Amino acid sequence: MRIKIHLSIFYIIAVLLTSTAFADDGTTILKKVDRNLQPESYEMYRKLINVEPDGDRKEFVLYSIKKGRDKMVALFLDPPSEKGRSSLRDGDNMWLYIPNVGKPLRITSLQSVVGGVFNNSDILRLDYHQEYNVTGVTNEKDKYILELKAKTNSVAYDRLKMWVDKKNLVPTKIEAYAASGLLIKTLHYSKITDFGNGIIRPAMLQTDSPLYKDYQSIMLFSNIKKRSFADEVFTLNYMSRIESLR
Amino acid sequence: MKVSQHVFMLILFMLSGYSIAAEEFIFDVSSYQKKNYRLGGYLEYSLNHQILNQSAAANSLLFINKTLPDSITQHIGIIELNGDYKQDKWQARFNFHAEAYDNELVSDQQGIFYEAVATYQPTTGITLEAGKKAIKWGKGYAWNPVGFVERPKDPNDPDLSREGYVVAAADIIKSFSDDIKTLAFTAAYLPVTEHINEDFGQQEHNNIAAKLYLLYNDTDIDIVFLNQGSRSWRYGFDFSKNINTNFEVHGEWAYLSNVTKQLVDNTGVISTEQDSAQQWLLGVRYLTENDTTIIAEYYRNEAGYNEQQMDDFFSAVDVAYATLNTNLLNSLSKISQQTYLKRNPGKNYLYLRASNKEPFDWLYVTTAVTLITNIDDNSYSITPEISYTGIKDLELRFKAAWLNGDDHSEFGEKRNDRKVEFRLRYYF
Repeated sequence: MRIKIHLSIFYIIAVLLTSTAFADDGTTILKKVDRNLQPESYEMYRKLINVEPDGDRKEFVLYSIKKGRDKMVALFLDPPSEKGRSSLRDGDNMWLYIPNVGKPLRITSLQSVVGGVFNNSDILRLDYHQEYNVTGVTNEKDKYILELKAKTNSVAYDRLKMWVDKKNLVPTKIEAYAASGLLIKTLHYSKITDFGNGIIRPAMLQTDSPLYKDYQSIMLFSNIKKRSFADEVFTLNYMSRIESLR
Repeated sequence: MKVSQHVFMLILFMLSGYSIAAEEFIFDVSSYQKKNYRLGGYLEYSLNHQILNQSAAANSLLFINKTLPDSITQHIGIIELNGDYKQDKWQARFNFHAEAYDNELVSDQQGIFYEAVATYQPTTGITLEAGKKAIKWGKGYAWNPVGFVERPKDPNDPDLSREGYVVAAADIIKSFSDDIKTLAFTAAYLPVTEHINEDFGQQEHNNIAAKLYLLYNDTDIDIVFLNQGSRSWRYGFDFSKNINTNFEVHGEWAYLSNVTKQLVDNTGVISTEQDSAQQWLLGVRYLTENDTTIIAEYYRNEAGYNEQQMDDFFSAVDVAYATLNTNLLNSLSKISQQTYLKRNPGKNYLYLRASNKEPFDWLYVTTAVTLITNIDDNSYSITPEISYTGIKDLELRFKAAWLNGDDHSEFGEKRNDRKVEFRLRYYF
C-alpha cells in the first residue's frame, strides 16, 4: 500500500515536472519565434489585401511602428479615403484617429478598421508570448506544434495552435480559436525573405476564416527595420503626427 | 500521351497556376516613400429632396410673408482639400472647405479654411501650434458637453470636419510605466476681437482653455477647463474604457457657470435668465457577433429647454403667424437659430445607432440606422442609410430621414417631415 502511494506521488511529480519543462521549452521557442518575426522595436510597411468572394480586391497600405512589449501604431498611407488615419495600441487599449473626426476614439480588438478577415488585433499584433502562455509542445521531424492559451480574456483569440518551422523558427501556420472551441481563422505564413540586419522571416501572411467564407485577406511585409522611438510617440496626442516619423 | 505525362502536365499546370497566384500579390513600397508635402481630399456631390412640414414653427419663421413650397430639391457640391508641408521640426498644414448649393429658393457658395496652422515640434513630447485649428475634446459620439472650444457637431453626421478657431496652443506629453501610463497637458489661447473668432462669444476677451489627459489603469481620463472670458467659466471631465474585446463605455460631465438662456413666453415676450448648469453624457459602444456596431448615448443638458418652455415658444410662433404679426415673427426668427431651433435644444436625449458591415453578404455595403429622440416630448428622428464603397476611391451613400412628433415638440416643429439624400464622394 505504502509503495503504491509513493509511486503515485512520484508519478504526479514526474508529470508536473515534464509538463513544466514542455512549457518552458515552448516558451523559449515562442520567444525565439517572436524575435524572428519582428525586432522588439521596429518600423515596417505593410500592404493589406482583402480578396472578396467575387475576386475583387481592396488594398490598404500601412506604415507601422512598434516599441517594447506592448506599444504599436499603424498609419494608413493608402487608399486616399483612409489616408491619415492611424490606429494605436498600448497593451489592451486601442484607439483609432480619423483626421475629419479630429480626435482619437477607443476601438475594440475584435473590430476591424479595414474590413475583411483581419481584425484590429491582427493589424496591431504584439509579440505572441506577451499575450499567450504555452500549454503544450509537440516535437515533430521538421516542425514544432505549440498550443497557446490567452493570458487574459482581453486577448482577441482564446487559444492558438501554431506550427513552427524548425529551421527558421518562424510560424508557418496558426489556427485561432474562440473560448467555445470554434475555429475563428487560420493564418498561413510564407515567402521567407531576408530583410537585412539579420531579419529573416515570412514576407506574406494569408488568412481565411470559416466565418468569412470565400473571403481571403493577405498581408505583405516590406522594409522591416530596427528603430528606436520615444514612448511619447505611442500616445493619443501624437496620433495625428505619426506621418512625421517616416 | 502516357498517364505519367498527363500527371506531369497537370503538376506543371498547377505549379504555374500557383506561381501566378503567388505573384499576384506584389508590394512595391517605393511608391509610398515619404515626401516633404502631402495633398489630398475629396470632391462631393449630393442631391437631397425635403418634404417640408407645412405647420412647423421653423417654416413659419423662415417664410415670413412668403409662400411655403411643399418640397425643396437641393444640389450641393463640396470640395475639401487638405495638405501639409514639413521641414525639419516645422510643419504647415491646412484644410480648405468650399461648397456651393442650389435649390428652388436660393443659390450660394462659399469657401473657407477650416484649418491653417503652423506647428513647431522641438522634441517628441512637445508641440507648439499657432493658427486656425479645430480643437475637439470629449468622448461622446453624438454630443460633447466638454467640447468647450469647438463648434457644435451635427449628431446626424458627427464625422464631418468642422471649422476651427484661431489659437496658439501647446501640447506636452509624458509617458510612464506605472498605473498612469500617459500624462498629457494641452493649453490653448483663444483671443476674441471684432475680427478674430468673433462668433466664439463676447468680444475683446482672452480665453484660455486647458486639458489634462491621463491614461490611468487602461482608462482614458480628461480634465478640462475654460476660463471666464468670452464665455462663462466652465470645467469638466470625460472618460473612456474598454470593458472587454467588444464593449466600450464612455462618459462626459461638464459644469458651466452663469449660462445665459433666452426665454420666450407664450405671448412672445423675450426674457433672459442666467444660471449655472451641468451637462453630462453616458454612452456605450458594442460589437455584436454578427459584426453590428451599436452606439447608445444618453445626454442630459440642464441648460436646455424643458417641454413647457418649448411649448411656450411654439405657441408664441403660432399666435404671431396666425395674427400676421410680422414684427414678432422677425424677432422670434432672430433668436430662434441660437435657441429653440438650434440642434437639440432640449434637456434629455437618447441616441442609438446600429451599423452593419456587409449585411447579407452584400459586398462593400454598410447599412446603418440612427435614432435621436427628445425624451421629454417623445419626438424623434429616424435615419436609415446605406453606403457602397465597391468602386475604387468612390463612396456612394443614400440616406433618408423621418422626423416625427406632436405639435410643439422638437422634431414635430422641424423644417422637414421627410428627407432623402444621395451623396457621391470621390477621394483623391
